[in-house]
Amino acid sequence: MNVSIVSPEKKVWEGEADMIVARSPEGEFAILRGHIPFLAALVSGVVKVKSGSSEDRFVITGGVLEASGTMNDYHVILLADDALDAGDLTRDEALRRMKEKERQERAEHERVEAELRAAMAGPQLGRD
Amino acid sequence: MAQQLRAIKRRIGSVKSTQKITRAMELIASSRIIKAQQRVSAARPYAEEMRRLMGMVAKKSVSIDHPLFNQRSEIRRIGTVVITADRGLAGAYNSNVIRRAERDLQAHGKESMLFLAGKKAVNYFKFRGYEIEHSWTGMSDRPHIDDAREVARAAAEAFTSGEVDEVRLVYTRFDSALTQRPVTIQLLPLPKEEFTSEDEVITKGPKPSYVFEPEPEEIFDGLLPRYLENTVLQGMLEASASEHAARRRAMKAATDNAEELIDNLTRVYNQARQAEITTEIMEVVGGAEALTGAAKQEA
Repeated sequence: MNVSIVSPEKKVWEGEADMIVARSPEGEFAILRGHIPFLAALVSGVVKVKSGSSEDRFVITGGVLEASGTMNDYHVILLADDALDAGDLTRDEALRRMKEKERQERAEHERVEAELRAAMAGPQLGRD
Repeated sequence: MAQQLRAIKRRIGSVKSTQKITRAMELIASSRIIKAQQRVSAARPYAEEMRRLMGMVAKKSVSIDHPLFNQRSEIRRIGTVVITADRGLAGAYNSNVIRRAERDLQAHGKESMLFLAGKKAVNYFKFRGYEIEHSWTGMSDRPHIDDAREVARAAAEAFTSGEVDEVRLVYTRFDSALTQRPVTIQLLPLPKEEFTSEDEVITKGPKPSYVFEPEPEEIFDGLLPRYLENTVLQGMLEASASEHAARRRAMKAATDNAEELIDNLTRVYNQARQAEITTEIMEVVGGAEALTGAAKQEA
């Protein structure tokens, strides 16, 4: 079955899988190909996507999951509020660095902006 | 004469260094438009799926009713969310969206409450003496869903608590790399028809009967705030792409202007130098002639 995990910002994961395990307010459930059409609200926790012997884990803070289709064309769509690959433990650090870089760029832009304004004001003030 | 030449030369130098900066900024903006556009399209699948699911759930619900749908019989106060950039040097980008917002405020004539995202909006409305309810900075470059959530939550809170009877969003829509225009859309109350109209959801074949967990109404209520957050995010992402496009255009114009200025100044410089050389030759020739004239007279 085709599984896609989509966050508000982007498609986080898409691929073929045998089983997906998630948790609704009423408890944990697993979806296999051919499951009766299903729509569930998800609570925060780990979502497991299994295919063969491999398993991908995603940490979500909430979302909604829809499973539907026929035996031959079955798909699961998970709209996650936030989804991050559980293997990616340094995300917080990465985020922090990204924010820092953005802050620096903004400061640099402001400096350049001031410089440009000064340069543009120069001729009007009669200097040079 | 020589002093004038030096002054022109200095001027050319300063224009050249300005041009270097504007050209660099033009290039940076160009690469950012592409990334910003990618983010706009990367966010689309979520929005589309969300809309489809909500339409589906609304049909299965016995009744859909949520405080965010609440149409007020009397509009006393209108909340306006304005999205601008934190930085300038983007041509008319910021002033266009600010002007649009201010015209809206004057047009509706009700009391207003401002929610401002972006330093330029904050500075402008603060200077004009508007009362600002909420303001955020540092998100215009690369808006995240967390930023959109903050804005959406503040707006939803003001709406559900009855502080405002309507909330609007003013941002710059990104039509293409060449055209971006400021638009106003209604955020709250949410348009109920959007989810209940028949033609909104296109389902192929017989509709499967779903199992809902929990009840459809409950799922729907959970989706509504997310729908609002997503609408704000979409606006922010488009505004960001528009900002970079406007900056690229402005910086390209500045670079071209600098080029023209340098050409003109160089021409003036050459003329002045030519004039100076001519004067010098005249002086030399004049001096030489005076000498030969004096020698002839002596002879």
